[in-house]
Amino acid sequence: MSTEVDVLEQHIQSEYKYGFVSDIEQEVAPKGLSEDVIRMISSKKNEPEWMLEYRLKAYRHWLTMEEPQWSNVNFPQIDFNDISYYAAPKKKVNPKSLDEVDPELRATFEKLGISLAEQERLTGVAVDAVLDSVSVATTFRDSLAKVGVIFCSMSEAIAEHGELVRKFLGSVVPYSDNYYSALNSAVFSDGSFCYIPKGVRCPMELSTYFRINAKDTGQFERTLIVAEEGAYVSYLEGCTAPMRDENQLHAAVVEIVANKNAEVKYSTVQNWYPGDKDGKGGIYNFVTKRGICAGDNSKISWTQVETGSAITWKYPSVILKGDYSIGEFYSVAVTNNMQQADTGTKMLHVGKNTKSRIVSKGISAGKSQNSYRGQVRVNRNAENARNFSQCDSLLIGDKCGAHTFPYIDVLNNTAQVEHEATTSKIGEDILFYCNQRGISTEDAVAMIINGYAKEVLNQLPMEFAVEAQKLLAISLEGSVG
Amino acid sequence: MKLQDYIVADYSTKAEHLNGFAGSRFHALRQQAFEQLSTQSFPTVKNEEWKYTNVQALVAQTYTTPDTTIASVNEYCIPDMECIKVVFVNGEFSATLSDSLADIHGLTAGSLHNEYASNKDVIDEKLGTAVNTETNAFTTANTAVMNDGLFVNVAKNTIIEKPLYVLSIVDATAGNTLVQPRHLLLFGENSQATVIFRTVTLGANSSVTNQIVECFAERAAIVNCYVVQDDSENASIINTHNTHQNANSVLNIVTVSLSGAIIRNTVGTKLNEQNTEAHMYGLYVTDGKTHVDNHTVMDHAVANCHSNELYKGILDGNSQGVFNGKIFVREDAQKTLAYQSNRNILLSNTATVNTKPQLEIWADDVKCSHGCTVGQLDEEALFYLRARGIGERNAKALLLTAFAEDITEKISIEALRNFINSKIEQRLIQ
Repeated sequence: MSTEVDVLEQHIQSEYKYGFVSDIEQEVAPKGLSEDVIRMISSKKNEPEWMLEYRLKAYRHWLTMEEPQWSNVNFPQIDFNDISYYAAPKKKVNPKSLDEVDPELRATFEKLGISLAEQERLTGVAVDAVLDSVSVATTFRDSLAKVGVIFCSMSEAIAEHGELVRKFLGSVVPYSDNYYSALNSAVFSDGSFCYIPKGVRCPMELSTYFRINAKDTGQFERTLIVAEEGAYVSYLEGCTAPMRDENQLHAAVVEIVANKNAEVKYSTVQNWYPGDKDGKGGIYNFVTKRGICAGDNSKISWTQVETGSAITWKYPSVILKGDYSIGEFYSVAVTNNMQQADTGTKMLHVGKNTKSRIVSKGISAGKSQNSYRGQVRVNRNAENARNFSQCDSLLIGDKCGAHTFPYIDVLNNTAQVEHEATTSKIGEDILFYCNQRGISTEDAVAMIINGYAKEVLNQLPMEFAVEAQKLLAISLEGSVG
Repeated sequence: MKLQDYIVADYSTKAEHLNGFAGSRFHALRQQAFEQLSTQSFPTVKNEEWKYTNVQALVAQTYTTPDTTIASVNEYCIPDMECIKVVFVNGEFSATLSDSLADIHGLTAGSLHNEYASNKDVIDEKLGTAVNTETNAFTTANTAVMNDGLFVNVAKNTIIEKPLYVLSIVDATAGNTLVQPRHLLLFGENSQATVIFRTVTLGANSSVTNQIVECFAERAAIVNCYVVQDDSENASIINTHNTHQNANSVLNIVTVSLSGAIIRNTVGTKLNEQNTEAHMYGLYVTDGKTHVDNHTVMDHAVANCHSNELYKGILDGNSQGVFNGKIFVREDAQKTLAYQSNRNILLSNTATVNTKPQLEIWADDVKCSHGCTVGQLDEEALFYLRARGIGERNAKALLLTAFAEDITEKISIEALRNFINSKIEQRLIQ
């Protein structure tokens, strides 16, 4: 037992690996939110009139809304006037090649292990790196442009592909959807825009890396992915944040549109600063992610590995509107120390012969609380809908909690919906078996956890799968007891 | 008078005729609940616990107080079932229609109202402790006007062989009727007894039964409760059934809902001491506009307890089935075993199922699982039967009856089981 306690101690004391602050001069808007701040953000970004209108409409709607209270997480009231809504690196960065990027900025990315140069050379992944609010550099833009794929920052997209953005922005997550999506619609600073034209299979994995750097700034990302008929894209998102004492708010919106025969695969690895062992600091991750399978035979697949953030509150969803469309959700959520996660998915079956699959694996350790909340809804006319959901929870230690709130609403008698969930701990017999064969308890736990999460990790693209496995091991290092 | 006004008037009448209740805890509870009621409103669909069950029609309609005389209740009895009849007419105990409760060894039973004088201490100790009036206005309303219901106290080490058949007759011939029975059941150490609840509505108007059952199982007691809901199509029931269980006790509750307007069952048990066992079973076979809502709570407060829950539904017509099962495993409740399952078959394209099996777990050394399914009959099984010359209707009925039997077989009283099975068969073969 004593070794287990030691190991636990060790882990509790293990510091956040990505906690450093880049000393880059930033341009930060004064704290607080008002129509003036929104006008300021909009004008700084030289946005067209319709964009400003949209933001103001969202802001006015937001003022009429109340902060939702239904989630299974606890946190002190957020003072939305104590947040700065815009932060941009001061040196004007508009590089044509990577050599022009601020060296310190590049060093930041290198510390994160995603050296742009290296990525470009070795992995062939196009990275749209987002540091705080302004997209810093986009690699592989040219080779993507050759096949007609648009992959750029949201601000550029608004400037250069205004009509496209205008057509799709808010079509899946309207500004009136919820409190945080309204806030995001009002103040979003930047994000990624991705457009795959008809019949194009995107030649590489698209990737974006979020990083919250400035102190007390909310990060309001806006991502929009549109796959036209027959298109395919795999999109990767990774997140880290430096160590800060104050809780930082991240309220992003991700929208995906998949038209006829299109397929979009969206993968996230999130390891934002989870706060220290007493729950001080850490990121609030309140994200609205939703995709619509608008056309027949389309497919949207969400894969997420959540190891960070003090509070995670998000439900990547799919609206299965087209006939024969498919929605998938694969998730591993790890919480340790004082972390809280309330995450899951929504699958709305609207079209005929639609299918969805949910695999959610929760792991809670320390004093954390991990909840799965999901909804499967089969509408009256959604003939032959099929859903399978599985959500398992693993508890490590007797101070943590695992909760499951699945909502299943079926209005059609041809639907087949299954849900199953289990909660258990790592069996002592299994650990004993490993120990007996000379595998230390810690290694055994890492091994078991990886096996447990494999179904989800297998869904990740190669580059991410390796990182995700390492992350799982780090987040749970030794929390056996 | 509308629901809220009717309750206020009902309270005032009762407060005027205290007949010995003044100054008692019984009345204090009523008074307290009555004051609380003015700050509460009846739940709407905005309330998470009532999201799928809209009771506004019941709140908005007007109620009258009926005046009823009934000569015999034979036609409302379960055929061939040996039992001790306890009859309530419009919520009030009827000594003439009930069997004699006096000379049964080890059993103190009767009207809560009448028994209060002689069992004051034990009633004061337990009444109102298994329900929380904070949760919703129905509980508060019942507490504010509670007057009559069944009081049962089973003595230590006794087995009551015959089941108690609690028949509530509600007369809705003249107008809409509201009754709010309050039952208190105490099962002494090592005792064993069975209680059956059933409501029968007369007349075509709307009847609303807002019933609370508080049940206390002492050490090693074995409690069986069967709830039969096969009332008329305008009869609604808000049924709250809470149990507190002490060490080594066993609870079996089977709820069968076959017809009615709005049926809401909130069945909960608190496993207060170690080595207790709780089994909750439910079956709903509905058609027409019947709305059945089953909310269950398994509260594992201590270690080494076992709970098991199975709810099955067959929904036809425009009926709606709601299931919300909660399993709580508290921090110290290690070595808990808890299983929960909800299975539904939709027969028509206008029927709806809303299910939410919910687990909340704060202990690590536990084995908990839940599952739920919504689907149809297995085409292959149907084909197999039809290939052997069984008509489609009969083949379906056969499969559905088998589906339902998982629950009905849990009823240990043969006559009651047959009664329910034949009702289900009748329905399915239509």
